This record gives sequence, structure tokens and C-alpha cells, in this order.
Amino acid sequence: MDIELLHLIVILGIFLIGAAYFKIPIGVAMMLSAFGGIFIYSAISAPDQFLQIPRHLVDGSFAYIEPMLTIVAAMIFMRFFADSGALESFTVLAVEKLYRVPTVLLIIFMIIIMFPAMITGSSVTSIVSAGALVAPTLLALGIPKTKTAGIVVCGSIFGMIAPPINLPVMIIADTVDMPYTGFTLPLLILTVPLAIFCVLFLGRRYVGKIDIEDVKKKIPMAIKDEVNTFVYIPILVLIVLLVIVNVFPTWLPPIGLPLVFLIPALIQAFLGRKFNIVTSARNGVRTALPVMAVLVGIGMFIQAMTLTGVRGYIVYNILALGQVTWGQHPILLYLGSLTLIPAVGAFSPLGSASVFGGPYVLVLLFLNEIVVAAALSMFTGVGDFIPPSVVALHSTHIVELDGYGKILKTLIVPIAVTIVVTLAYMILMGMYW
Amino acid sequence: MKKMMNGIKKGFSKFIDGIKTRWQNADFSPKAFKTSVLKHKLSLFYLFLSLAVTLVTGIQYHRFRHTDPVFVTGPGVVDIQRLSDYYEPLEGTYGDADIYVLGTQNPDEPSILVLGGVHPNEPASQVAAVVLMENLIVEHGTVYIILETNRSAFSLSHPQEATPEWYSIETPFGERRFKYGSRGTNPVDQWPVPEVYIHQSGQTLSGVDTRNLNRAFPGTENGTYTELVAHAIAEFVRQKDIIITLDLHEASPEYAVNNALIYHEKVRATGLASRTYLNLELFWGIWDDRFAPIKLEISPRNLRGLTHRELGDYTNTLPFLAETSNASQGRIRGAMSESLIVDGYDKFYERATALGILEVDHSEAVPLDERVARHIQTFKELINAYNSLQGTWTGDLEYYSRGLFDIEYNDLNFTTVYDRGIGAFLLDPEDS
Repeated sequence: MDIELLHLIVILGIFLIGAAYFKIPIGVAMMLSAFGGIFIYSAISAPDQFLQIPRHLVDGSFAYIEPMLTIVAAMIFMRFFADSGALESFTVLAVEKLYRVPTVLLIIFMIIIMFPAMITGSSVTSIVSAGALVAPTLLALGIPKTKTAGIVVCGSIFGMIAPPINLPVMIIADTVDMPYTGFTLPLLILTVPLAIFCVLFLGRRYVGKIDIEDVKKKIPMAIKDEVNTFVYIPILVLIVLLVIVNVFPTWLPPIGLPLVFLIPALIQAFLGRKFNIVTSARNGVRTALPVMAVLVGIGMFIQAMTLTGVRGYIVYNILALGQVTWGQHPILLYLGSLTLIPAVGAFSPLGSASVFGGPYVLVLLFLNEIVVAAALSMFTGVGDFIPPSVVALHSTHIVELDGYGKILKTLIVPIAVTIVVTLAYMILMGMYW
Repeated sequence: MKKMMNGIKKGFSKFIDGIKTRWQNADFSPKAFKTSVLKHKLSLFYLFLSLAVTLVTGIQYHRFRHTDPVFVTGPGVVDIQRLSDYYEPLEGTYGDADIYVLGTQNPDEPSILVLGGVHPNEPASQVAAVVLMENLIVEHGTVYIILETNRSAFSLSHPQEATPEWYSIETPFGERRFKYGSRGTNPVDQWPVPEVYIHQSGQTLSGVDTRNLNRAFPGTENGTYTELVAHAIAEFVRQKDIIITLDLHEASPEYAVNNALIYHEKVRATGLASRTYLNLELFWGIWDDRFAPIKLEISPRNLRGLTHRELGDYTNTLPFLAETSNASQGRIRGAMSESLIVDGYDKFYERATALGILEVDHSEAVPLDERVARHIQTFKELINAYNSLQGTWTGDLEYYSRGLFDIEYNDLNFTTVYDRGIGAFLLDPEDS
């Protein structure tokens, strides 16, 4: 038996006992498992690492410093957007204008959710901004909380995979010296049908016949008299900044996503309904805290897996599966792509792309590498459906549910369809593209 | 506007009033303090724990960033310049690296630039450059060597790669320590990082590559910190009219381009790439049990930002990039340790070789001695090829008008480094 298997058992064991038995928060359980894993590794194999434990824990979590700042800034913006009345106003406007064409309405909402992730390459950006913006409208239309959260999760993930910016593909391409060109059409073919299917599957039955009078009773129509169109200026500023920063980067010095959210937040403070800025900002930070804690935990967890050799153990064993073939097809490797890549993707889609992407593309060279990289990026994205991903955990805040279990249940069919379609896409399009 | 300003003033004074009121109403008695501490004891515990970790790791990081490895100036070094001598805005910044000059500095004689440490997580790159700097004597022509090309990236560990901060090489006089850094520039020197990096050619890359020096060439004066460093190097190459540039790297064993020499297409007209390749092939023919076969690759035109592409396009130099296979930077590797860096043995790579997953052979250890020796032999064969083509080459003669390199290697070649170890060729800092 490889010693790495023991380390894997130790790390996962501490995490599961902490999270499931003692019910400690997931982020803290991961920190403890990382600490325990490195401690045991130091005791067994590398005594010189004892003094390095604090550095390793900080080093690991530092990978997420920027996503953490982005999340907290986006939460402050969304809190301001809600407290100024802009969110209620948007809900009223969207329902009034689009209730006659429910299918189109749902598809438009899906595109809105996907948009921030499409241009930033980050599913987190979508769920904390457009997801939080659209969710109240979906709820107002009568879509249950779990399905609403499901739509938002799907939109954020498919937005991350859709062109023009797909960070997992960029990372995979870089590891095999492949330029990021020629991906637009393959990624559109992969993501658009899945996105339309998922939003209609989850929401269409609830918006078949929208009784506008009934809906109006549920939504705060009075907001129309309270705020005017200027209240939307910050969201326009946000869209403009996102586009400039990601599409025309030379127009502005690099200001970073946190500032991209804080600038419209500052403008929002002076528009719409009056609200207490300090209280709103504090509430925004409070909402972001649990997700930030999970990110810190994930960072430490991955560092522990890398240091102890568990990462290599997992990657090697997956690649070894490639030896079992049916014709030229490594069937067990395919199985690995739809299980372990998402499993690691749940901790970090980009980390999963970085670890598995290069080796996978090289083993599957008999398929078109662009199609393979596109499909692998989708498998890393599937990880975002699974806790403790930020997208999964944050979706519960958006619809104010206590746990993710019920949301995950409603997502079983979309996840299964995504996996099957992506696998078929990788094999069939990979052979003939 | 006036209304808005009044609103801001009013809001601000309300905020200050709130703080004042709280301060005035606060109870500072020992009893109240004790009650408060007991009430928040768990929060206080986490707060102190966080502060302690921050303090310990902060001090450790500060020491690491501000401690440089010792490089002993070799007997052949005639001058030490800096990148800022060629691009002033770098002066006083962390990225202002030293350029070691060996030889005559006569512009009418041939010149070569060796780049070590473009990626500080590829140790053979820097160590080979150090060995060359500490041993060569150049009688005719000039050898320029940069040991820490992306100096900023030597000042941090790459998050989630769990690498050691330092690794040691045994020498007859004790250990010489080197830094194991990150692939990218330190965020302390360049932050924030955009989600997407759009290279000046229009190529789109992951935002992480904004800090990757070997995606930033030819650099620009108005760019990021990394692009400024790239610009300084390109400017140095232009001002010195460097004939050959050799950029030393390492690659993870699963990487397709490995044990390779990559060159810009304009090199073809000079015959230099083919002759160097031939020399290394002959070498492999003799030492096939130790010297893995070399791959010769041409720089892809659509992969932008790399030295072998941009220095070829934007300067007069003939650029080459050499890769060796380094298990410590791969994704299949097992536990990370100093031993993996220096001794180069990893059981998962051994098994991956057996499975036929890799294009390079890791059935045995590929130690740092071997990787450094390989880079040194590549440098040597490049110089040999250049010298041997003088007077015989009938193609592009522009690069052959400055005479021969005359370099004394002091017994430095693949077999001596392989057999005796790198340590035998490193100088004692005490004797410096």
C-alpha cells in the first residue's frame, strides 16, 4: 500500500468526522484536516516540515485571496443594490414587461445570469451578481426556491464554460502549449443547448401560464413610485466596467474585480431609497464570511494534499486507468473524467483543470484536442454543482435556504444530462471535428 | 451636486457622532472588561490564533523575500551590470536583476546572453547559469548571464504547490543554498491580476499568465511590472546587439516539449539550430546511457509572449530555449521535498514511465546534476556549432561576421558535471 493512501485517509477522515459528526463548519473542518494531514505527514516522513506547518496553511489559502476580496466586494454591492430598492424595482419591471412570453423570459434570465461569468470566466462573479439579481424575479414568478437556486447555479456554471472567456480551458491550453484560439464555436455548441435545457427543465412548468395579477400581489409594486430609472445606473456601470476590464484591458489600468464591484456600490449609495451604508456593508460582509471561510479551508486542504503526495497519487491512479481500453477508447479514463475531475472541481475548478487538464489532453491525443479541452473544462465546471464549491454554498444564501441538499436533489437531472452530453461531445465531436 | 455633497457631509457627521456616542457610553471598568472577555472568549481565541499565525508567517515571508542566495563572482566575470542600466524605470525595484559580464565586451566580437531563472520553480535553469558564471573564462567574445531573470518570482512560494523555500547542493566545502520560487511575479510587485491576460499581440491567456515573464515578451514600457522586466531584457538585447540568446528552462515530465531545444524560424538560415542538434545527437550517441535524446522544435508562430518567439521577432538575436525534465514541478509527483528537487526520483513518475504515459524516461531518478549538466552541454554545443560554422556556412552570413567565441570551460561539460556533481563546480563563498 502506498503511504499516500494513508495520508488521503487521514485528511479525508478528519474532514468527514469534523463536518459530519461534530457538525463544525465546513471551512473549519477543512482547515483542521489540512493541519492534521500535514502534522501526520511530518511525523511519519518529514520532521523538517513541522516548523513549516503555518507557512503551508497560509500559502494554500493565499491562492484565494482575490476571489475572497471579489466575493466580499460583490456582496456589498448586491446589498446596496437591494437596500436602495433597485432589486425590487428590477423584479417588478422584468415581470411586467416579459410575463407574456415565459419561455423567452426564462432564456433571457439564463443569459443574464451567464453574462458576468462569460466575460470574467468566473462562476462566482455570476452567482454573486446576476444570480442574486434575477433570483427574486424567478421566485416572484412562482418558481420554488430550490429550482430558482438550481437555475442560478446552472447559469453561473455554464457562463463560466461559455466563450469568450473560459479559464479552465486557458489553463489546460497553457499546460500543453496550445493557443487559446478556435474554442468559441466548440464551447457554444457545448454550453448553449445545455443552458436552455436546464432553465426550461427547472423553471418552465411553473411559468406556463403567468397570472400577472396574482404575481403582482407577491411583488412590491409600490417600489415604482419610490425609485426612478437612475437607480439602475450602478448596474450599468458594473456591466461597462466588467466589459472594459476583460475585453478592452488597455483602456483602464488593471483595477481588479473587487474594485469593479465597489465603484458601482459607491454610486448606488447615492441613488434610490435611502439606507444606512455602514449597516448594509456590514450585512454584505456577514453574508460573504462563510464562503470566505470555506475558500480558506479549501486552499489549506489542497496544499496539504500536494505536500503529502496525495495529489500525485490521485492523478497517477486516474491516468493509470487509461490503460484499460475498449478499442482505442480508454473507458476507465472517461469514467475518471466524469467522476474525479468534478470531485476535485468541487474544491476548485481551476485547480482541477490545472492538475488533470494537461495529462488528460496528452493521453487523449487521438481525439481533437480543442474539443477535449472544452469538454474537460465542462467536467471541472460540474464540480461547481457539488459542495463545498462557492457556487453551491452561495446559492443557499440567494434563496435563503438552510442547506444545499434540496437544491442538489433538483439538480440531479441537469447534472446527469450535462455529464452524458459532455462525454458524448468529447468522444463523438473529438473524433470527427 | 451640491445636494449630494451635503448628503455626504451629513452622513459622515452622523457616522462620527455614532462613534462618539459609543465611546462616551462605553464602560471601561475591569469588571465590564472581564464580562466582555468571557462573553467573546471563543472569538478572542480565534483572533489571537489568527494574529499569531499572521505574525509567524509574516516574519518568515519577510525573511525569505529579503534574503538572497550567495552567488560567488567567478574569475571570468569582468563586470556586473543591472537591467536598469538598459531600462531606467526598473532602478530601485525588486525586479532589477544583475547581469554578469564575462569576456571582452567588444561589440565587434560575438556575444551570447544566458537567461537563468525566468521561472524560479525550474531549478536547473538557475543552477546551470550559476555554474557557467562561476567557471567560464571568456577570451574572445562576451557571455552575459542573468541568474534571476524574474527576480520578483524568487521571493515567494507558489500557492498550493507546497514547495520548500530553499534547497541545498552538497559541495566539498559544505552546502550551497538556492531559492525555489514561483512561476510568476510576486503579487506584492504586481497586483491586481485581471481574470484574462491579453498579450500585446492580442493573444488571450488566463489571468495567471499576466505574471508569467515567459508570456510577457517583448514587453512594453506602459505595461505591467512583468512586461517592464521583459521590455528591459529586450532592450538589453537590442542595445548590446546580442547574437545568440539561450533561455534555460525545465518542464514537468508529462509536458510534450521536453529535453528539447526550441528555436525561432530565422535561426534556420544560419544553420545554427541544426548543427547544435547534430552535436547533441552525436553526444547522445556516445553517452546514450546518461544523455536522453534531444528534440529540436521550431517556435510556434501563434504562441506569443515567449522568448523564442518575441526576441526573434522584435530583436536581432537568434533565440533558443532549452528544456530539461523536472519531476518536482509535475502534477503526477508524490510528496514534495528538497530531495525530489535535487535527487529527482519520484515513484509515481517511475510508474508513469512504465505505463508509457510519458515521452521522457523517468524509470530512474533524473537528478539536478544531470539536468544542469545537460543545460551546460547545450550551451557548449551551441558555442561549438557557432564556431564550427564560421567560414563554412554559405547561408545567412550576417551573424558570422564577428569572429569566434574563445571560451575556457575549466573541465566543465556534461560528463564531468554528471560524474562529479554540481557541487564540484560551485565556488566557496569564503574564497570569494
